[in-house]
Amino acid sequence: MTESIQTPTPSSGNARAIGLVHPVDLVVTLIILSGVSYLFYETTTFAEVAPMFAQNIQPSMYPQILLIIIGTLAVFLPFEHILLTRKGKDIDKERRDGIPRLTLFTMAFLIAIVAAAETLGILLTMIAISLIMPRLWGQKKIVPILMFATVFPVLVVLLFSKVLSVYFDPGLFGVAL
Amino acid sequence: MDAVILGLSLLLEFDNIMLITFGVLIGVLVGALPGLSSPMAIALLTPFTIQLEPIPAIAMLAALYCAGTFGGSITAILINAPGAPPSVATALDGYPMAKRGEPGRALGLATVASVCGGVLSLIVFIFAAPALASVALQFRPPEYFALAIFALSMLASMTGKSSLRNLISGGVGVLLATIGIHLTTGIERFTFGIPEFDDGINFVPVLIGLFAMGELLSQSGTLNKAVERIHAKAMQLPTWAELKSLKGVILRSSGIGTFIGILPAEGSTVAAIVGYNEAKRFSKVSHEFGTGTPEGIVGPEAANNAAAGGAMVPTLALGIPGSGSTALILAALIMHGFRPGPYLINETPEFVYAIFGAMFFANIAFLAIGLVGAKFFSLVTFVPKTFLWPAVFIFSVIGAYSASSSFIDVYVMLTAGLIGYFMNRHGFGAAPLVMGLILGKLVEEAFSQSMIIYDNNFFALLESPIVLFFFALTFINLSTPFWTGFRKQKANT
Repeated sequence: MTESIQTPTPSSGNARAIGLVHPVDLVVTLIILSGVSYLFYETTTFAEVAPMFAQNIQPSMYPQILLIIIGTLAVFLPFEHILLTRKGKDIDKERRDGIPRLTLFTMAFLIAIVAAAETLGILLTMIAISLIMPRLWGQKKIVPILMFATVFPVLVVLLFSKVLSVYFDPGLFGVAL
Repeated sequence: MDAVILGLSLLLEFDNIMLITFGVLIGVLVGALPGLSSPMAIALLTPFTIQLEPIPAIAMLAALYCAGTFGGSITAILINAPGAPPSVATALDGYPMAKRGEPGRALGLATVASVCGGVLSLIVFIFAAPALASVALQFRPPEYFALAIFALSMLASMTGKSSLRNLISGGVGVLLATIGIHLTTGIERFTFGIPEFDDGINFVPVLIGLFAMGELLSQSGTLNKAVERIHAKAMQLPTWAELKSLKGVILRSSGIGTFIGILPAEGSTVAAIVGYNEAKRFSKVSHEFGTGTPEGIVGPEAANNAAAGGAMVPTLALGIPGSGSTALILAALIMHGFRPGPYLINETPEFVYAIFGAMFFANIAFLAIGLVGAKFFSLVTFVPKTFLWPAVFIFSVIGAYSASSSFIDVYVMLTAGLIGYFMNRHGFGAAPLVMGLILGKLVEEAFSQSMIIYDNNFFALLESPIVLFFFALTFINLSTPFWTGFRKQKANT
């Protein structure tokens, strides 16, 4: 379950091995710049108001300044490894290995369960998480999983709905305590 | 004096004592569990505190913050896995001492140093916060803008690998704060047609996503890591003679920790590392560091707990977070309808004394927890991750949902978690983003008001000496990483 999928990351954070431009950080920069460009375009669609009403500060001005600052800082990212290497820091330590397969499965599970939460309702969502996630993470003993999936969500719902008056959406199936 | 009595009397009510005790126990528990942290626990608990009165709610979170820093030392010493980042330095000497058969002594030293560091910093806090607030009352929007810019620039020296990445994270946080209807003009910005975003992005789901979900995904990659556990039967308090020989280290580290805590954005982790390094530098037996020397335990422990009290000074007096955790406490204050800053302290001084009382109580409780509960808290590391993290996920979903009973917040939480995981992987910290998010509104408001005051002439801001002072500090702060990089290169060649 914890097998790794190898992504094309450099094998070392050493500046000499990578050269002037860090390839992974170049991709990160391009992603940031794409986001910045899109959001900058969005700011151009903000409605303009009369200068007197806006007190000379249009609603787009401040986000545009921020986007320019973020974009400018991001441009330096592919070269930053040179400075970091001089300081003895390894920026690639956490990302040298690929994303573990279990992490990818967990991401997929989180997205699926959150997407289904509105339909299932909060109680059924909690039961589903308690049943599936321990198994996904390698818990082999069924009895503890079943005990966890029945006792824990019920306790949580009772605690939060009765003591803290939190409203739990029963979902389309109408399951609630 | 009335405010002192009122603030402290609030804490003497039975319900409030129970809440603060709950905060301390949860703090030590999450601090002791590797992966769980006090920022995560604060983020998860914040939405549920909305049912409580503001002062007990914030007092509970403040107690949790202190206790989380202390709790991390238990696992740092017993399993060489710091339960919280501020305890990284404690493990360097705590674990070797435990391994050579003195776990109780190591825990005792850590506990006493934590209590001393925490209490000393609280004494500074109780005098410095009102004094700083009185000074800050003179600040106008331009001064506040310059102060906020200085606080954001401090992100560059926050813990993490890269100053540049911290600044980008902070910038993204400030940008996130612009989501919603622009206050001056009433124009929607970045709402993408989602009505729930009209009032701005809800802090709580973002905080839960970044701290809890991001960590959950990181933990999924470390399930098979085995750790060696050392069993501690009981904590052993240091003797007077030993304490006397260590008092210099404890006092110095407490001072260092408090000072670093007061600096915006610098938190307990930086304090602990500096505390450890300074203890080593001044030690007569510096060559023994790393082998289980008492000075190597009390140095970082006094410093990281002192930073917790220090960090509350700018948080409450200026509304500028002193650390990642206090940024979350600031978010909780805002959620409870307070506007942190000098007016809060001057108009409701009892608030400060209640927070002081809660944190003082938490620090004294460490002794009891260390004496009675060290064995229990060392056992919590046996809770299987396969059940612990699904429980964290369930609390995350409920926490995000209950903030406004909206599934949109759950989607925001998940999105923040996924982005947080990739940010962490590529060296972008979650804490700078949160600080940017919290400071974002202040920066924009102060900037807009300053531009109105000076008729859109930015350079007129520099007429104020306070603005000049903060801008000079900002420049020094931003240029420091480059200077140190070049100096190190010069030293190497």
